[in-house]
Amino acid sequence: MKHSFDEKLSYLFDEIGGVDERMLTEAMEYRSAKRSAKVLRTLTAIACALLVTVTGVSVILTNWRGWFVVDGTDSGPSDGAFPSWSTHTLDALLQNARGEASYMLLSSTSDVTYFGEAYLLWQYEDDGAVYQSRALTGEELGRLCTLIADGKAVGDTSPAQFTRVWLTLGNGDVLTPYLPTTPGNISATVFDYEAELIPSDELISCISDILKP
Amino acid sequence: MEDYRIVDLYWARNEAAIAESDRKYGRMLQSLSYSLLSSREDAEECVNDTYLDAWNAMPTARPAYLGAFLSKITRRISVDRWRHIHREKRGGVQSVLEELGECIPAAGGVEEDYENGRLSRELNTFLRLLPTEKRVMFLRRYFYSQSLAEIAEALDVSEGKVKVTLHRLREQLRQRLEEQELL
Repeated sequence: MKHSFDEKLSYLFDEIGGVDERMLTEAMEYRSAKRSAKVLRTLTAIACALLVTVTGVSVILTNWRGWFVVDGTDSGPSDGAFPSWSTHTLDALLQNARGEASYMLLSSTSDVTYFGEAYLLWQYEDDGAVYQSRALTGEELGRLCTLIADGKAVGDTSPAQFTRVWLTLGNGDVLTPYLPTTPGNISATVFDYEAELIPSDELISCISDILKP
Repeated sequence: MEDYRIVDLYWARNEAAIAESDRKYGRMLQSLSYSLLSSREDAEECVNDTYLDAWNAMPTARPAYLGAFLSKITRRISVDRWRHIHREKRGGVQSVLEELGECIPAAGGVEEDYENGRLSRELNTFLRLLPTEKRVMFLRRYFYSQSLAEIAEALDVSEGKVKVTLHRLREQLRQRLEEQELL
């Protein structure tokens, strides 16, 4: 029986469809050595780029707070002298003053004394303790209260803040320079606040003076 | 999911088997069918039919290479569909001849070789004796119907090299089949 070309072709085509499944799997999974090497080189390059990026970001995240602080004339403590804490933000001031300011450590806000002396209190984001300044004089307290009222309203975006600050007035009231001194913002519950004000330069300078040991 | 787990799902008559098959091999099967039919809709239907065939085949089949097993079904269904489409396009005469052809008893020759598996064995032997890269080229082209460009990219060689290699392989296969008095 003589078969046409089309029939023969058809048989062959069908038989190719029935070849060993191991060879079919091999055909799909096969990658040439050259291509594998190329893929390996590409992956290595991507890994290196990622490593450089991650290292760079880590360095930036570790140091960025310091980059926004404007140093004063003093470069740092020397001869036991107190450093200049001239900064653009109260947050930066307190970060710079960390470990060097004059303070008393309270374990938490529940240890705060509301009656008697007035104090400046502050807390670091990564630290549950509350730092309490020396007792404020009447003049300092009056000036702080006045300057708090001069704070500028926060814009659409609140500035990054890694510290929280309060002022106990000694009569049971608590203020924070980050909120306007409206009745609702003066109480012991003000320990939990969302910043509405940006403290003025004068206020920052005044607090800087108070924190000096 | 590993192939054997998917096969277990088929054996357990768990419909998740189809979803897992599609997740793992759907794109490859779609590509295989599309390369034969040049129609996304037809290819999609063929792939769906593949899962139905696989569902009916397992049990009793327990393929060790599920991807290849499904590929074979997809290819067969796609080729059948391709033939059906071309038959319709060529008109009724071809269909009548084919119907009459079924009435004629086989009298040896290539059909016999096809039926008793000689052609299949010879083809498998031919492929096994080839160097891996040539075998891969041949099967990617004539089983998976990949284009020369796709093969060249996968094997990181030029299209020209693929073309020349395939030409020589066809020539070798023709000589081998002639020697064996097949086809």
